[in-house]
Amino acid sequence: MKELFQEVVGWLGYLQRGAVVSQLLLILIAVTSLGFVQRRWPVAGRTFWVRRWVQLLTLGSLGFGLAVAGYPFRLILDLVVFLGGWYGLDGLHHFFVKSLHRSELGQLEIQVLRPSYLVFGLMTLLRSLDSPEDMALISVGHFLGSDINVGDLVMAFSVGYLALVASGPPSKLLARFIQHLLLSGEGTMKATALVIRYLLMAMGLLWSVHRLGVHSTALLAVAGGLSLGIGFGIKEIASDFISGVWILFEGSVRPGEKLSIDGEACEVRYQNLRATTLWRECDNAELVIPNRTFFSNTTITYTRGDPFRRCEVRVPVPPDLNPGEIMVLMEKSASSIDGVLRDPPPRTLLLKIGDATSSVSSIYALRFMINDPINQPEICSAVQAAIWQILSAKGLASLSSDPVPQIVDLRVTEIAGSQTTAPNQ
Amino acid sequence: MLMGLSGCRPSQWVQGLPRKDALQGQIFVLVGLSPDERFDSLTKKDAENRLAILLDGFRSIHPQVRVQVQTLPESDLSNVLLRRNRAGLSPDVVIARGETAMALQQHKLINPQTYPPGQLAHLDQGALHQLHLGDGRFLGLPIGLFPQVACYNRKRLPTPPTTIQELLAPASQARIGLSMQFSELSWSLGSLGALDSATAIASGQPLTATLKQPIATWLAWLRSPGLQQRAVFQASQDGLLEDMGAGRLDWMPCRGYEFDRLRRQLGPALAVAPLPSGPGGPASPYTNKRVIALGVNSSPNQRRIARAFLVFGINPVSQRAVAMRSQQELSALTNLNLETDPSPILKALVASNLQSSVNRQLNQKIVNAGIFSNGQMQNVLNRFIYGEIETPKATDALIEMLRPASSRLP
Repeated sequence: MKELFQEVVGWLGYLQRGAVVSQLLLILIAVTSLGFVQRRWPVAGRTFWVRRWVQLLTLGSLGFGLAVAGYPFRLILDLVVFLGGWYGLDGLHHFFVKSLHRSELGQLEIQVLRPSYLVFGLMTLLRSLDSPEDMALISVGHFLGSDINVGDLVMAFSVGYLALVASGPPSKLLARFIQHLLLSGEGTMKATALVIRYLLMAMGLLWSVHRLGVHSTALLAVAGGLSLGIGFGIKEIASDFISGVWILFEGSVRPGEKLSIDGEACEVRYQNLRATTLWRECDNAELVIPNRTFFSNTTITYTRGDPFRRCEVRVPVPPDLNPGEIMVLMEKSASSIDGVLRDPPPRTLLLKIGDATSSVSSIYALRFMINDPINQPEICSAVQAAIWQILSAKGLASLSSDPVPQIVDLRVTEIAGSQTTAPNQ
Repeated sequence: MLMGLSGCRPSQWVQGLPRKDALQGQIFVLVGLSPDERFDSLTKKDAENRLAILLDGFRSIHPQVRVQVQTLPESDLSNVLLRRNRAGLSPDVVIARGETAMALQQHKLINPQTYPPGQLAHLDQGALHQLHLGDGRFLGLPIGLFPQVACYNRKRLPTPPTTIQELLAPASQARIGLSMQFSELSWSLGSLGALDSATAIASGQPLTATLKQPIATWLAWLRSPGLQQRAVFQASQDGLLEDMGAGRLDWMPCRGYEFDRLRRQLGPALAVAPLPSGPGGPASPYTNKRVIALGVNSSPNQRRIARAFLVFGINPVSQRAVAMRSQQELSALTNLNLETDPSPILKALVASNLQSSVNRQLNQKIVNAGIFSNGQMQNVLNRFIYGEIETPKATDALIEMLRPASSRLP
């Protein structure tokens, strides 16, 4: 480490050279004066871009002037190229904004593109100041009996960073490609992306650790120690981890799937190796559920086989009304609602014939299919309102004062609906 | 503060000398590693250790000078210096092989200087001639010589073979490693009697059957069953060094800067001897010259320090210290007698350097014509050794490339 520090401090020796100092001064003057102009007369939009161009052109002209005069100029030129590229990344942002989600684009830009470009800029500067190949060989110490040099450290850190932080966008890209090849669904694509990402992370971390001189025997020893720790203290985390891996490969719970948790429909948002994050529509809350819950409890999913869900609305109607007419009107009203599938068509059943003498209502059940399980309460509400409207319009709105709308979750049904994932025994 | 960090201290007196006479400041020294050397932390350390002998002495008389050493493969030197020169950040001192220094000079990446005749009087005249630009300036000065010698494993070969016949004798059982590079094979031109022919051809003498025959004999030897059964040909020295270090080879031509690497693996089993003579005469090894040259971006103060370092590098005390302590290279001063040293390594180096003087004329012409770095020449040799082309065709191709450009066939 001392050697590296001395090497870096040694670069100050270049300040003995007039050619270096003059380039740095010109850069300083150009950058601070343009910064002053921007602070004094701030602008945005197109004018802001014009100012950036002016900045680059000014610096470029200074470099060109030095080159024509036969003086060293490369520091200025490198800065112009670097700034041009940095501003160019903004252009890239505008290019990708249509094809990528905002949060994905933000991640790609902040976690991958800008840090990579910054490293590229630093390497360019380093190439002028020193020999990066030479610096890479400077020893920084020992680790588990291995000599670690700067090159190993930088490579291990970079690959580890890319694997942990920046593997998301490439994984998604690869998963989308696989999705196009296999014509699989969105949920499969998200699960594939997650599996690819974890594989990349594992490979990246293993490579980084190996690069730092930790060999397979040492890794096995660490794993042995960890297994002891798992037995005593962190068995639940380990259980979550193993459940997470299992669930991912089994595909029983995937991002994008709709589940029923405590009777409420939820959508799987994110899945990592410890926990799964669900979004609950009714109160817009996010639930973080340990993975072992899905592994050991029954999970009701609406989207594993297909996204259809069957709903039932029970309507009490005075017994003296014609059942045939009522049934047609109810089916017609359901068909008019967005979200209710036309195929298979809504069906009405007369569950119970009322008794006019004792004012007991006949009970009708309207059954219909929807393909958006999360919005089931809204759709059922709309269906009931439509039934009331249509019966009211026909003068048949003397509904019982005791309507009993009921959402029936048909776990065992002949029609495609929800599926139940049994706990692993 | 920056002045302080960069090595300048505004004191009036430094180590008893008035400030104007004392050297203080920082210089950057870039050491080029031969293309034969693997660029890794051990090789870097070896190169720095060789230079450290010189630096320790320099610092002892100029304690206010800080020297930052950087190492780089010579193959990258031109591109790196071109880039750094344009930024004003090139090193103050460049140390590289003679051929590399000449290539750098062609691109104006080093700064030729004139030197008082007294400083040059005892330097190796062959090397000096190579570095002279014709206008009184020298692109650099020779600072060390790396003659080609034979490295062998004394556990397998108790006595070094002194002739090619001994080397290839069935009794020796030596596993031989040879590089396919012309510069590394040229030692056998002398042993096989092809040196005079090659020199005459390179000098532009009219081609006759008498001149052509020894070249064909030399090439035929490279493909002879006796050699082919015992020798492993490798495209580079790096592969040979790996095999030798792992005990898969017993004998190979090598140079001083490769000793450390072999010694780390072979330990005391590593021994060094002059290259074997043959039916045609003594071997004709090529001696690499290490040259020290000045950079082009130095400040006046850095130039003063760099020049002082350069002159310090060629003084007899420094030269003897480097040769004796490194046991890898010879002095570039001809008046420095190292033959009396009891070290067998130095004795072998001195003997090999004497052998190399017999082919100095050829080497000079070859180096000046850039034949050692000629890819076409290398391609012909590679294809011939692998049996893709036959001896007559290879002989014609080799002769054509050895001939001066003015007398080549259109």
